[in-house]
Amino acid sequence: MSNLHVIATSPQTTNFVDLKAAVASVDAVLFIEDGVYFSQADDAMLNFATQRQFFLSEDLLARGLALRAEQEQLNYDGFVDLTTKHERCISWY
Amino acid sequence: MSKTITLVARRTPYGGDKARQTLDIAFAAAVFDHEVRYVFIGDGVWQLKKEQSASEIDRKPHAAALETLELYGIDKIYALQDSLSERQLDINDLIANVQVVDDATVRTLLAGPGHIINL
Amino acid sequence: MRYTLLINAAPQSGEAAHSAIRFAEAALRQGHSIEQLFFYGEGVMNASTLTVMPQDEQNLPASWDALIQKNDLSSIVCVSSAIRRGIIDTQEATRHQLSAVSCYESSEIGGLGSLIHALSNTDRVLSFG
Repeated sequence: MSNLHVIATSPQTTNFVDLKAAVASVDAVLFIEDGVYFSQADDAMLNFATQRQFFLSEDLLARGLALRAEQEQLNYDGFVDLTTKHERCISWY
Repeated sequence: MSKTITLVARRTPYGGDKARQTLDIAFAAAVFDHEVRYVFIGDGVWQLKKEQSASEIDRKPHAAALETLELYGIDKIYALQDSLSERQLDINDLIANVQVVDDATVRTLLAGPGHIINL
Repeated sequence: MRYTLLINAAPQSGEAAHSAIRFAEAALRQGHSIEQLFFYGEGVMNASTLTVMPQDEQNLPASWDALIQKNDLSSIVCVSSAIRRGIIDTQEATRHQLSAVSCYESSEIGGLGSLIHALSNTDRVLSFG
């Protein structure tokens, strides 16, 4: 059993204590909307319990952001796919 | 799906509508016979602060409403220890019947069963 | 999969309502079903027939209305959120003796019980706000 965390706020407006308490090692994290600014954050900010981290491509493009080689993006179809692979979705906005 | 709903409450009681909206979902879920687990983290723990006098700002008292949850059969109310400590709060500052838990317990609560709503 | 989408943001406040409709379109395109759309809090503004947008901007309430009709979706607008924000259907207009109706007919004004009921028949619930 695992959860998909959908994060829609920028790193500077996100409460890490809450988020890090909630994300388990089996979970995945998807950054959407202003959440895609996490792609530009340093490793310490992206230090979640899980390395399964994804960025929504439409929101990256809208903001003129590019990913580092090791970072993974997906579109809305990928977003839907991701929700089928995890039993529950938890939104953070 | 199981008839369990886990509610994550992480907003202050009067800073917006979402604390109240989450509470309304809790009442509705209880009325329709679902088991509710109510998890307070971050600024959400301020909802549990006792001795609120919301009438001073013409709002409905939030903690008083939370105290009535038990009458609806909702007795699984949790607060994250780290969130309390961060805000210089301890169990004595809170309304009755709150269980203080660590972050590992929060993750277990979020691992199911049932859906999670985090407004 | 059967989805319930909880939309908790107005079309005018940020990107969330737009994200929700994009998600709904993608899910339906892939053959998933949307069991329930539930507009809550500020999200009820997505059902307003009185929204006028500049021509070069998307009118999200109109887009929701089209999506709901095309796919015959069940859409509920939370009554307590709606009436305090002036989202009124004919029934509420009669009940509260109001002169105008402002809710798309493709959505129904209803209670949180509908949300709770939908959750029992849903594989995934996703909120946008």
